[in-house]
Amino acid sequence: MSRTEPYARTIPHPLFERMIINDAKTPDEAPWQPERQHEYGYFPGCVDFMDVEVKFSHLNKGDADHASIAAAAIKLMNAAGIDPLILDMNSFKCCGHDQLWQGQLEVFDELKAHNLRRMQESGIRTLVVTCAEGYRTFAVDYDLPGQGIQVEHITQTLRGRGLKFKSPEPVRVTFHDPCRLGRMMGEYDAPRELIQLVDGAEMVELENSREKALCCGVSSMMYCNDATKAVRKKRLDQGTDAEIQVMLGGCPKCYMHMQCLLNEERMDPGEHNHSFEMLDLMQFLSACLVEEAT
Amino acid sequence: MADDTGNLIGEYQQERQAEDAAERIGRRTEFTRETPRQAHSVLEASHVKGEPLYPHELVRDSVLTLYVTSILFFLAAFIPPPLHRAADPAAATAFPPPLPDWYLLWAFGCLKVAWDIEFTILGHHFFLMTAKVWGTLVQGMIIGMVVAVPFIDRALGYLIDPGPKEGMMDVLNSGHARRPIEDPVRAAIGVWGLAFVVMLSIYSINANIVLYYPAVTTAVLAGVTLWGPLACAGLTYLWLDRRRAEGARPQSDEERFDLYRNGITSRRTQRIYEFKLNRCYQCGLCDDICPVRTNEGEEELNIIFNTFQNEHDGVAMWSCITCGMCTAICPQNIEYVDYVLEQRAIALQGAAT
Repeated sequence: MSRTEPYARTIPHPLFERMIINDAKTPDEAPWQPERQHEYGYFPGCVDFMDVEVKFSHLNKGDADHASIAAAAIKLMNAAGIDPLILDMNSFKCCGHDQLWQGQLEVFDELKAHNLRRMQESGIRTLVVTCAEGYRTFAVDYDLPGQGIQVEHITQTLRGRGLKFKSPEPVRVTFHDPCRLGRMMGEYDAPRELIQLVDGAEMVELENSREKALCCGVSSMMYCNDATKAVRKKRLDQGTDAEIQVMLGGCPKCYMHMQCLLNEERMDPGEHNHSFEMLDLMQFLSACLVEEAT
Repeated sequence: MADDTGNLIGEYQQERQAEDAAERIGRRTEFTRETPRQAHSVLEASHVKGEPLYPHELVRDSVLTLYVTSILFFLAAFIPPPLHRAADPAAATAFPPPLPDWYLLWAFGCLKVAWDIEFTILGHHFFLMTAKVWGTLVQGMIIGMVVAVPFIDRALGYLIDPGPKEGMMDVLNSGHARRPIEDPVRAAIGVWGLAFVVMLSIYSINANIVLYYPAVTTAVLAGVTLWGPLACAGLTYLWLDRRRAEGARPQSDEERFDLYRNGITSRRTQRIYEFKLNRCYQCGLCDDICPVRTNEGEEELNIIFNTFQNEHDGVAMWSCITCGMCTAICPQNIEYVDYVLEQRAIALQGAAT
C-alpha cells in the first residue's frame, strides 16, 4: 500500500467545530434555576447539535437520526421510574470532549467552567449520559464524582430496574464496545446485561470484543479518511463474519460513523458485504420495550 | 557595542541564508530524483541521519569511560581492599567459611542440599551418584526448566487451539494473559521460583548464619527453604485472585487521572508522562495492534515507534485515533492516549481557535 498524497490535516467538520467553539467563547453568565428539584439529570450532549445543524447524514443520503437516541433514553428512564432533568443546550454547552482530544485546551476549559457552574445550579445528584465520550469526560476530565455528583452511563442506570424487553422479531445482535466506555472507563457488563434482558434477541460476540474491541476510528471527530474508514470497515466485516442482523453501539458517535459508512457503501451496492444495520443501544431497547399497563 | 552586536547578527543571518539556499538547492535535486513524499519516521527523513560516531558518540563514550576509570582510581586509592589474616594451614576448616560470589550462592546451595543417592535392594547396595554430581545436575535442571517454560507453554497452547487465525488480531487473540493479575497461577509459579532461588542462596550460607544466630540451625533453614517459597506462591495466588475478584483495574484512578485533576496547563505533566513512557521495554505489542498502523502499513505510519524516536512531526500525534488498544495490550499499562492528548494540548497552546 503506497500513498502519494500527504495526509489530510483538516478536521472534517468545520461547521460543527466552529459552532461549539463559538458557543464556548460566548460568555453566558445569567443564573439558571430549574423549575423543581430532580434527583437525576440527563445530558443528551451533542446529539442536540447533530442532524439539526450539521446535516451529517445528508452527505450520503443517510437516515441516521440522533435525536431519537435522546428521546429513547428519556422514554426508557421514565419507564424505569426515573424523572430526569433534561440538561439540554438551552442552558448547557457541549461537554468539550472533542475539543479536549483535539488539543484545544482553552476551549475545553471554558466549556468545563460553564458546565460545572450549571451543574452546581441544577442541584442534581446523579448525572446520566447516553454518550460514552460524555461519560468519560464528566467522570474523569470534569471530576464530577469529586464534587458530589455521581456520573452514570445510561446502561448502568437502567441495569437492575426490572425493565422488560421483547424484540418484535427474532434478531441476532452484537454489541460494539465504544473505546471510551470500555477500555477507558472499564464498563463492559452493563450493556451486555441489558441486551440479555431482551426476549428474542440472540447476543453474539464479535471476534474482537470487550477490551480487545476495534475502534470506530473517528474518536473525537478527528479524521474521516481512508485510514479510519479501513478501521471501520474491518469492524463491520467482523459483524458480517458473525452473521449478525443488528450491531448495537453504546455511543452516538459510534452509531454515527458506522451508519455513515454503511450508507456510503449502499450508494454503490456492488461493493459492500454488510447486510446488517447499526443502531444505538437506546434506540434498540426503546423499540423492544414492553409497556406495562399501569 | 551595539554596532558589534549588529554586525554579529548580520553575519549570522548571512550564514543562515547561505545554508538555507544550499539546503534548498540540495532538496530540489532530491525532488527531481523521486516524487516528494512526507517522511513519516525518523528513518525516512533525509535530513536526519541519526547520531554520528564522531564527535557525538565518541565524546560521550570517552567521557563515560574516563568517569568510570576515575572512580576506580579513587576507590583503589582511598578504600583499599581488606587483607584478612593469613590462612592457617594447620586449621581444620577455614574461618570464616569461604563463600562464592553472591550471584552463585544458589548454585552453592544446590550442592549443599544434595545428598548421596544410594539405596539397598535385597541385600545389594546400589550407589547411584554422589552429592557432588547430583547437586551439579540439579543446577542444570533448574536452568533447563526456566528455558523450557516458553516451549512447554506454546506446545500446550497449540494443543488447545492449533492454527492461529490470519490477520492482525493474532497478537491480541493468541497467547495467554500478560499481566500477573489476569493469570494468578503463572504469577504464583514465578514467585515460587524466585523465592526458591533466594532461599537456596540463604541456605548455602548456613554455616555462617549458625555462627551468629545459633537458633537458626540447618534443619530450620532447610524447612524454610522447602516451605517458604510455597507459602509465598500461595499468598501471591490468593492476593492476585482476590484483586481479580474485586475487579481491580490495572492502575489506581489516582495515578491514571492525575493529569485531568490538575489540568494540562504546565509542562510538568509532560515530564510525568515521559517518565511513564520510560517504563516501556519495547516489546512492540502496541505497534502490532495499532489499527492505524496496521491499515497504513509498517513503512507508512508508525505512530508509537515515532513517539519513542522523539519524532513529533505532527503526523503521529494527529493520526492517532485514541482508541486505547495499545494501553489494553501493554504489559506495563502505559497510557499512551494520555500522552497523545497532552502532546496535542501542548501543540495547540495559544493557537487561534
